[in-house]
Amino acid sequence: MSDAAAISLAVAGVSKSFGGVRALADVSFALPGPGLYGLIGPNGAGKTTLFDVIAGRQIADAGRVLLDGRPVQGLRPHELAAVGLARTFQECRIFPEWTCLENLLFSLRPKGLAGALGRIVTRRATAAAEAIRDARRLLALATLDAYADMPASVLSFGQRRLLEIVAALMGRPRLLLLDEPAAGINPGLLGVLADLIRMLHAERGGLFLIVEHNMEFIMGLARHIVVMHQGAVLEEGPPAAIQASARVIEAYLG
Amino acid sequence: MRAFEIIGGLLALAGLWALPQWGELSPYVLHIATLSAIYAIPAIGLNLMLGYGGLVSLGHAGFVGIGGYAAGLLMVDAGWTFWAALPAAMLASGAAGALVGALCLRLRTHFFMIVTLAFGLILHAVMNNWEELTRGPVGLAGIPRPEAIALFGAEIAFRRLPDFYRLTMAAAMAALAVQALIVRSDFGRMLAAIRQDEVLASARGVPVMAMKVAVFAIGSAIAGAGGAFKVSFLRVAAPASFDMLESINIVLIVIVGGAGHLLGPVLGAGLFVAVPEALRVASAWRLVVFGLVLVLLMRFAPQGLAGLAADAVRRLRGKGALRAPGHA
Amino acid sequence: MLLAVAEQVLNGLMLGSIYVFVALGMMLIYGVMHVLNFAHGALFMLGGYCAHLVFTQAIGNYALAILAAIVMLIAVGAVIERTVFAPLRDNLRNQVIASLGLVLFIENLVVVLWGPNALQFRIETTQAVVSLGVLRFRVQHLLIIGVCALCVTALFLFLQRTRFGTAIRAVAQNPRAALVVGIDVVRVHRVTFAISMALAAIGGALLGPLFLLFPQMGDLPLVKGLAGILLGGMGSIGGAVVGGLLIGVIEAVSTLVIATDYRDAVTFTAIVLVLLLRPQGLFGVRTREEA
Repeated sequence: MSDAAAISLAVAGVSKSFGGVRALADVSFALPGPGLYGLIGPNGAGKTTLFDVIAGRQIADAGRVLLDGRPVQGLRPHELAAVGLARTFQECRIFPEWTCLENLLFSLRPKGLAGALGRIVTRRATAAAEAIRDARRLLALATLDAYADMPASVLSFGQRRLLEIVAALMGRPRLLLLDEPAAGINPGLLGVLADLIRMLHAERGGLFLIVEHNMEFIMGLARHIVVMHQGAVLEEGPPAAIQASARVIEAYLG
Repeated sequence: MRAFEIIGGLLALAGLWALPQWGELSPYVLHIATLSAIYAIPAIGLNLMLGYGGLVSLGHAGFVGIGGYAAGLLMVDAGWTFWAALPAAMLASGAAGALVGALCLRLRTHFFMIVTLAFGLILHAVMNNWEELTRGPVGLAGIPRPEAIALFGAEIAFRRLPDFYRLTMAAAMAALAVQALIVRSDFGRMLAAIRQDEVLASARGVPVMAMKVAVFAIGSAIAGAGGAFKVSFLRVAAPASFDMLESINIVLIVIVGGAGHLLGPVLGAGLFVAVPEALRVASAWRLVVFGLVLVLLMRFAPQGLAGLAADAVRRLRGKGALRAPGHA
Repeated sequence: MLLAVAEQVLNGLMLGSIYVFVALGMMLIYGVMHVLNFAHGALFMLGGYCAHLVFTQAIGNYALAILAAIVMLIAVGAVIERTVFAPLRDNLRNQVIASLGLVLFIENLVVVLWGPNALQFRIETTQAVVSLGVLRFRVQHLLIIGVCALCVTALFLFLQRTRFGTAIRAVAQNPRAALVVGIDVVRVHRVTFAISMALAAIGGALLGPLFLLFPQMGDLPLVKGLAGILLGGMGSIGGAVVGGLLIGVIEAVSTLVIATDYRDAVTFTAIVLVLLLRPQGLFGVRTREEA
């Protein structure tokens, strides 16, 4: 896996239809290097579909997704994980039976089936002390250190979201997709969440692509935003430019 | 593992090993103990699939049957020894499991259960009707017990029940050991991840489909070993030993014992075979009771007996309710 | 040859009607409560035994015996629904396993109460034969087909034309929304279970006199009924009816082509093929992939 310091994501001419409905129509944009990026759009703009295409949950009818210039469209989620992609879920997914620490450490385990079968006899699934230190530090950043050895099922929804993000980052992905991280979070805590994402990005590097519904949240967080509307890219640029764009305002109001 | 657990385990093993020597035990008791061990083996296979992988297969007896018939036919028709037929039987059911798994595992929940049920029924119909090969409903008779082996100069004659009993006990222990190794390996962690959340496991890099097929194949191979021991014990392979009811029985053993617990299948098999015999109740009554127990367990203690025991131990050690600091 | 085919088709429609009783009941419970009740075959069998009990021990009137069996099975169903399925709501795995426990419980309780051997259930219609041109039918066959048609029609009218039927359909489509608009979901579940039990009782009571009563007599109808539901596309009443009939006809006609011994294997294979190739059923529309 190459360095998180050099990573790019490009979407080139991606189209996708469901039945007769065109969800994505020739979507193209390029995110040239590490950083915090936003993907926004009104309801039905196609951002969830695009997210699913990038994350390997949907297969595009046409077009390419390029990670560092290499085509990755059509790869399944676990194959994408192997090339350095991690993601979080809008509905927030964690492994509830495991402790928070185990949730993080699992991201580090090798996942190849053949290798895992070979190691059944030779090795137990234990983690190196260094990995445990790293996991505890990430948990501390997410203010979850007190819960490290408790089953993740005891966490509140907001805490689960934090756990999900640090667990995704534990495997040192080069590309992290965040699916509406602000959804379902107490508005009073959104600032804390934004700070944490910023801090984690500073700490781990890589490219974070955040799909978001909450305008205020994303405007304060991303340095570059892609706006989608009716299945296509409507506008692209820094938050200030997006907020000033007449086309974006029209799309949201109309 | 704590010292007392190891010592307790060793004592239990020694006791089981010495069972044939205990005074004037009737061969009947050994018979029951052997049958328990023989039921424990396929139950361990199903525990890996159902308890650890979350795959509810309702056709497990079919794969036990493939192993049983493969071993029986190789011994009776091809003149193989038991020792050669056993791995071949495991290979046969493992391969059948991989094939069926690859076909069916993309189906979810209800549909997966139905299709495994259907496969179990198909396998049973084949055993019943392919008379040229399987000898039909009366079964394949004349299956031998394993050939004697020499160990440290002494001959172990598996024709005799005490030695056959020890062999099946050792086989059940081996299956338990394999189960423990799998559960504690990376493979087992991935399995646990799939059981908790398939979508998340996949996003974290777990090859979900391949893992499921693999565990289905492993579980079926273990079931096949159970089948080989079963037909060698009964001296006959008959379709009635591998029907839908038998599949339900194996599910029952795993659930009652405690799905997803290492010792669950052993506990379940012991209860299923031994308790009704000890109480000397008619076989219909025992299934009435087991049916009721299964329903009650689902209602009040779906974690099964091993789960209840684990909860009790945890409570005794004072790790009772896990509570988060502050609000949960 | 043509005669043989016609005979087998009619035979198949009769068998299929029996499967429809099982399929409709399972389908209703699945559609409305999202429970796959593997004990349905055992309950079907229990219906046959109940009818036999009332017929031989009490009244000696077949129609009244069927009615009594319906009442008895609805009572049994009410107990099961309240003590097993309702408390396990939303836990698919545990419901299925509990229903397997019920299979063991019911089948073996029948063995304990009535003995393991088959019982004869003698009524006149099984012996009587009518002629239709060159074809000759047993009256019981025609009775089964007729009663099935009647029940299906009644069920359709109930679901489509009555307030409560509409409520049932609403719960099947969207339980949460049904709750929001004030439908008593718990009551809908109970009535649905009762309807399903009534259908099982009628099916068992109709099949009993034709062959014999035995504790496992519901096992195959259960699987055939499941196959019918799958063929019809898990989730539609019409699909369950057509699917059940189709399974019966396929099975009966297949005996002309392949050995009778493999008749059941044909159905099992049909289940596997449908699930693998067209999980939405023969008539269903493929819904959008699960997210």
